[in-house]
Amino acid sequence: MRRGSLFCLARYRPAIFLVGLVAMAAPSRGASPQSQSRLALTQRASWWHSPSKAELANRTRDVLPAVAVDVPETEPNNSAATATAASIGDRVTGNISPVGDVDYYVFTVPAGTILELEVEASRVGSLLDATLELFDKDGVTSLAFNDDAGSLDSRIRFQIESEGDYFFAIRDLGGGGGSGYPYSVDISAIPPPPGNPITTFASGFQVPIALAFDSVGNLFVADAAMGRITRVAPDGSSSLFGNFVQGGEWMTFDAFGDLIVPSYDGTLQIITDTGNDTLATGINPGPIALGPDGDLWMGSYDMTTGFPTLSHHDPYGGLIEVFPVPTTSLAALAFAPSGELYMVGFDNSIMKLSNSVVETLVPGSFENCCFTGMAFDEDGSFYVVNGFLGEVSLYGPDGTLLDEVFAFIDTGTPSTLAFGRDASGMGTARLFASTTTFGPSQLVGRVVEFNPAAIRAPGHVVNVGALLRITKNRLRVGVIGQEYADTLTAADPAVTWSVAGGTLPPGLSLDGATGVVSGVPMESGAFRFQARAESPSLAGERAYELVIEEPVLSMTDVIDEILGIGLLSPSELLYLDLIGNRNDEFDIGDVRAFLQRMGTVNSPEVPRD
Amino acid sequence: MIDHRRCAGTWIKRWSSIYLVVGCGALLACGGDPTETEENKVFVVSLTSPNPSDGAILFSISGGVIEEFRTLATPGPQVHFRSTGPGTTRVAMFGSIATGGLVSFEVSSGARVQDYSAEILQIADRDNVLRSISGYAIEVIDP
Repeated sequence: MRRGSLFCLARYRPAIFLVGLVAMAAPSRGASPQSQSRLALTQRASWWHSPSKAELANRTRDVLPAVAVDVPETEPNNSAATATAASIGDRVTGNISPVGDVDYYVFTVPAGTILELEVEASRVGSLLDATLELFDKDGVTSLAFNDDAGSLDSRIRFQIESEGDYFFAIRDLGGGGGSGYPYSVDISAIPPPPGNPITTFASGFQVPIALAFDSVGNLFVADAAMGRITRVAPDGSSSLFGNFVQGGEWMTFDAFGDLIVPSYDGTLQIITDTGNDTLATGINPGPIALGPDGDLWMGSYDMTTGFPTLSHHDPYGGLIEVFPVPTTSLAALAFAPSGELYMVGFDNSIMKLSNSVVETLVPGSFENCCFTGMAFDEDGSFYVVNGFLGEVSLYGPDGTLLDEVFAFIDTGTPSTLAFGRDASGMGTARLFASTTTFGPSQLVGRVVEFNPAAIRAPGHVVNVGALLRITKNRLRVGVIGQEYADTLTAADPAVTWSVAGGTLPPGLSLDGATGVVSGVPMESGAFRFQARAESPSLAGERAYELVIEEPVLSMTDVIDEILGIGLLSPSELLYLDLIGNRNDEFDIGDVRAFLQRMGTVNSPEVPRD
Repeated sequence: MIDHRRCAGTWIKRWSSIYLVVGCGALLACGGDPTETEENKVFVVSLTSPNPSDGAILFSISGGVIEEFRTLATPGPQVHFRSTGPGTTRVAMFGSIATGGLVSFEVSSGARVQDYSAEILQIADRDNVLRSISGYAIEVIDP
């Protein structure tokens, strides 16, 4: 896949992007390499920078034991029946030749082994763009497949459940071959990373990208392919919770306990088990997080410039402010226990919002991309999942890498990380990820849990204090010159109101006792302000946009009025004076101002033909 | 707004309640009206202004029914007019308003200029601010 295409997918359709990662990188069960190509995402992957040998050595030194023996292939080994025999610890060597050649190997694996097969070819100058596939003991059933892992070379890590003779096959992605296609494959048993083994917590999904736990420990799983949200009880039992039409790549519970899904139609959808409602419109959908003050934050895009942004919304989705983001595409947002907002980009960058500026903690690079999810523990350390590599890394509170490979995932491409919550809403030391891979006939999605013994601290839960819910969704549109009145409402009627930010349209004011916004608008436009409601025990704020329009008047009506035979209303005459000379009278100067707005009188005058 | 098709006839016709807007720049290029007869006279509304240029003026003309106007200045201001009573016409002009002839209108050969009078109602400057009409004078003259 070319880099530009990848960026576009990551930006605008993360679900497809992640399925693309499934196709390009993740081990899979029950699918042949040929079947992967149906997604058209398994194109020759040449858009990243291959890591250097030194980098690879550093990267794997802590995990991989030395490989002892070189085993050359024995042709013909084009099928499981004629596979070249090898053993764990061997480095098999061969050549994909002639064109279309495929080489099979067989080796014995003890139960519980974490097997690693790593190709070295392209990195050392071979023309081979390898694909690697691991087969079960029958030599037919596919257990895992990989095209690329940080370079054009392939790598599979897989936990073997039962002892036996297993097979792997290597071939060229494009079906090429010849004398310039040498390779080697290291067959290793690696020490399990601390986060392994992983276990399946819930299944039956296709593309379960977004995860969110409610305050009583239920897990909600948004399946972007199936358009539905499943509730998984703490005992693992599942039930359909709700449906959504678009989106599902991101999800969070808001300050009031409602489940929120940003939709591709630019709305924030509240998903309930009795139906959906629109919380806000006009948003740019993206990864979403709940802040400790109840506000919502989203990684979005400025649709006019195409640059990523971080947008700050009130608890109802109303836009408050937007920050530029120094990355190509935001993959996930999460609040740290410190209350600071952290972000990861698909380019593996790690950022933090600090003093209204998004600062980079770890610069981005598409080498070994792509981060797709993150989660904080209560100590401020955070886990980041790399969907492409199928690995989870652990970082310290200051962004220091503590464990590059905390866990690897062999059940498919991971996307989201989430810490569990118990029945009282407290964070637990159980870390989950959503994964997707190819099955025999469709995508297979799971929620997996990492080795709980390796989780160093319970997950951080963003606890929002009780908020006063402001129930007025939107204010009606006003017209210049016409009396305006609308009333803000809150769940508790005994509140006092104030404007906490922004400005009301000129001519309007807010009655602090009644919540009535009234007056005669004097200017047209869209005016943003934040209303604050306070009761003796609670407070809440909500952003509004109050639109003031101009009345629709014809030139004939206005001219008739100044010539003494008009029928304009007092509010229309007031409007004309407001756009004119504002002397509280309707006069010839106001008419001239109106004609200027209509474009029929120039200001200053210019010759007319 | 200029209606070039009507400009071709120089004189702007008034159709019942429809007000037509005149562009004098085009008018000057149009040449004489072949329908104009020797029996008719043309009177001019002339302004004396203390200011070099204003943006709009509202005035009335009394003395008889006026069905046609044409502007005299270049570039031509917009002219809108309407009869507001027996023998009275109210005129609104928007453009460069300065000392000199504002509009002309056609009367019958027997009409007398002293039977016509004009009165300034409002004047606005080029910032649309209403001016005092003190110092301004307007009259109907037979050129």
